[in-house]
Amino acid sequence: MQRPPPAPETPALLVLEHLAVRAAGSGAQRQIEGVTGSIGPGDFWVVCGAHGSGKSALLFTLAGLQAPAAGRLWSDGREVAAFSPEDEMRYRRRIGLVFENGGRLFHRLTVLENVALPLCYHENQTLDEARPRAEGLLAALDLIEWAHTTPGRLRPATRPRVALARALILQPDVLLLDDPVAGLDAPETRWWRETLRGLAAGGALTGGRPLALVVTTHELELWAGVGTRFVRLQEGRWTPMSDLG
Amino acid sequence: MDALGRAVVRFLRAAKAQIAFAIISLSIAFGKSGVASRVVHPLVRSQIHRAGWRLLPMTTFLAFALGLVIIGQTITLLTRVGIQSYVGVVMVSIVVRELGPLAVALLVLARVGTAYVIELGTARALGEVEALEALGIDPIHYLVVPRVVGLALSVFSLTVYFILAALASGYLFAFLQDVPLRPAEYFRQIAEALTAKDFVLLGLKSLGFGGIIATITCFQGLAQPMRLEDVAGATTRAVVQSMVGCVLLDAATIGVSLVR
Repeated sequence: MQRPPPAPETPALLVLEHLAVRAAGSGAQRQIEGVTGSIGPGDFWVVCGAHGSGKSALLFTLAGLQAPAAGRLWSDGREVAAFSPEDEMRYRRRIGLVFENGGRLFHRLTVLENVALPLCYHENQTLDEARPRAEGLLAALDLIEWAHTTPGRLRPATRPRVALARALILQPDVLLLDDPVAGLDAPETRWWRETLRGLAAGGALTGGRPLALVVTTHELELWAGVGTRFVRLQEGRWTPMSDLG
Repeated sequence: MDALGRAVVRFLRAAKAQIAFAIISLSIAFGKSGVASRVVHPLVRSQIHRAGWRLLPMTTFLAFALGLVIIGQTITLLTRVGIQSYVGVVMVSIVVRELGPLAVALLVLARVGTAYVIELGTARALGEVEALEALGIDPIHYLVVPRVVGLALSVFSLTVYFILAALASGYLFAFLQDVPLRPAEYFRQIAEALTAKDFVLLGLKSLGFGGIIATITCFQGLAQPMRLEDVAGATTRAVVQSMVGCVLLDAATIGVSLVR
């Protein structure tokens, strides 16, 4: 019997109820326990942890790519684990995920094709039909000059931006970013802080609609003044912190 | 005995996993036939272009080589011993029923099947398959279905082309050797030796070869977690298993053709 979670103060997009996250690809081994909270529009979570602390596994679980080891994940009052395959696909469309280390772009497609693919697939459009929206997004993220380049020819700092564009093309409600500024220089890090702040506030990129963001990092200070909630992952424990801003 | 038993168990496990993968791929191909058609249909066309159209020169070369070397010799030999009337039967048995489909399947496996394992294995190792899933795109629908459909249609088309080219080049060789056999007589014998069952089995066999090669190569590339250094081993496995699969299907069709 499914039990709806207690009504939150703001309309929650995701409710995490004592989630335990297993390490990616490790079967049943638990990496984080006690993950609890609710994520609503405009929230900007910053999750900090060392390498191997389970940051990526947490995002994979929230994105629906792996099942939680224990606990419950709710979306719009329904438990994600009980979704049908069709509901699961719909759920994934509402959650944008930017992978770490270059965003896992499709290396055989151009930047434009990478960004347009989700739109073409889900809205059954040709590349020409999806082009205006994809090019608009690329222009807004200063990527238009790379539109016809394959990811292998891009600077490493440009690839995560393309991954961000790809994640935004379906206009998700929640955006998960796995250490997007790792290895980037100060100006590029600044660009990410400002861009993500704009997304959480509901800027032009989202048509004024505030997104819920979860960013993982290994340097909490980078996100001071941007995030609204901060959590530290240490020895498998989920430890919320006071606002650093 | 232990080693033999382990090998049999390993073979059965691999066969079970691949049959399950094939069933899943088929169910998605039919279940999602109308989904994202403007993405998937161009992918099918591009696979046909890649596995069919671009292999035409190599297929032509092989067909002519086969025609000249094997068929020409057979015709010459039959003529020398005075049993030219069996030429059609021999041609149909060798080229149409056996050599044509198998030669094309091996060519496509070598040129395209191996590339599938490398492409998909690399995509898997680089995490692109998870990226597709995160975007709500079914990797089987996007990556496997176009390859299976495209390769099956390509092998079928190439087989028909290969057989026609091999039969024509075989006669050309015989003509150059001054074998007393007129073209009308040669093709009449072939037409008489062919039955409706041959056409049905040829179609099923060549489509089946394409389906087997695509399914096994996609399975080896996609169906298990992979690192870049595993791709070479997966490619070798895919080639061996595809050849075994094709030979087994060939044996099954021989069995069916023997049933009256």
